[in-house]
Amino acid sequence: MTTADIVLLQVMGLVRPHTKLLEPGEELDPERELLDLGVDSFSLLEFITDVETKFGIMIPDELLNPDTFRSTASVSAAVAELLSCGEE
Amino acid sequence: MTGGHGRLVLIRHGEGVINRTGVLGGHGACLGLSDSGRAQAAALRDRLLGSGVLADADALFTSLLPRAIETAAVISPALRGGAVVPVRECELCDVHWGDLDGAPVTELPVDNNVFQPVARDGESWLVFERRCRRVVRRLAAESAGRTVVVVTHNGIIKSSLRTLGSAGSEADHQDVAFTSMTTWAEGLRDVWRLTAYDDHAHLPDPARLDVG
Repeated sequence: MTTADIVLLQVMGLVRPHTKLLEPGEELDPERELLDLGVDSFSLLEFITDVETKFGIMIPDELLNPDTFRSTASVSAAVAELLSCGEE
Repeated sequence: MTGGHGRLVLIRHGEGVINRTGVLGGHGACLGLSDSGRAQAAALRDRLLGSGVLADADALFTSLLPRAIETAAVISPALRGGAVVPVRECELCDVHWGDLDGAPVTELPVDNNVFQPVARDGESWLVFERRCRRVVRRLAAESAGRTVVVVTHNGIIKSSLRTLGSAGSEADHQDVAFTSMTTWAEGLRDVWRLTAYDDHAHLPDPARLDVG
């Protein structure tokens, strides 16, 4: 399992409490759009805070855009990128 | 871990000229308090002097906007007899309006895209709300065991309900009154308790407006 895989699993765990439209026990598709999962603007902020706390990172304002927060997978990719930058 | 006794008092500025004229008043366009705003700030100062409730204040912060700076100057005699020097911080400013600074409120975009900046060089709702939460958390930490007074703007005060409390989107429905006080008291284990919200008992007419 790669670092990116581990990050994705962790981000999936973090987004789950904010997915108002996902049935209990329903599998989370990482490519499914967050909006489609019921992540609204207020829960999005909570999700961002959860991600920053979990990974000890600060997501820069320029990454607060629809592309980064399209899906669980896109958020995970951004986090992995930020983590790799931090290791350089 | 702290044992409590800290207070974070968030005060909305008095009515600004821009509130009266209906324009977006950021760094370049805010023209300070209106006559009504000065009267509101003076009423708050007199109330505070009479009650002594903030006579032990340890710190005073304001945004960079003249309507907040002027409000802080008017009330400062009620804080340790004027001995507390106001500290100005841009983090406490209202939304950064970018190219819409000075434009009529009616020019604000009506779409609900939280990622979209309000204008070129302006903030998106997401960036603004995150800034609000960041500064509220920091000020709460600085208020541990102390009394910190902050003269700021409607959006930051309402955001405190979501940051230190558990309010959701319903906190956006009602603006707080000009020069109203919202007070958070420190509890155990970094838990903050709302002890006053939108307290404007010194005003005969709260004169709510929707920007600022």
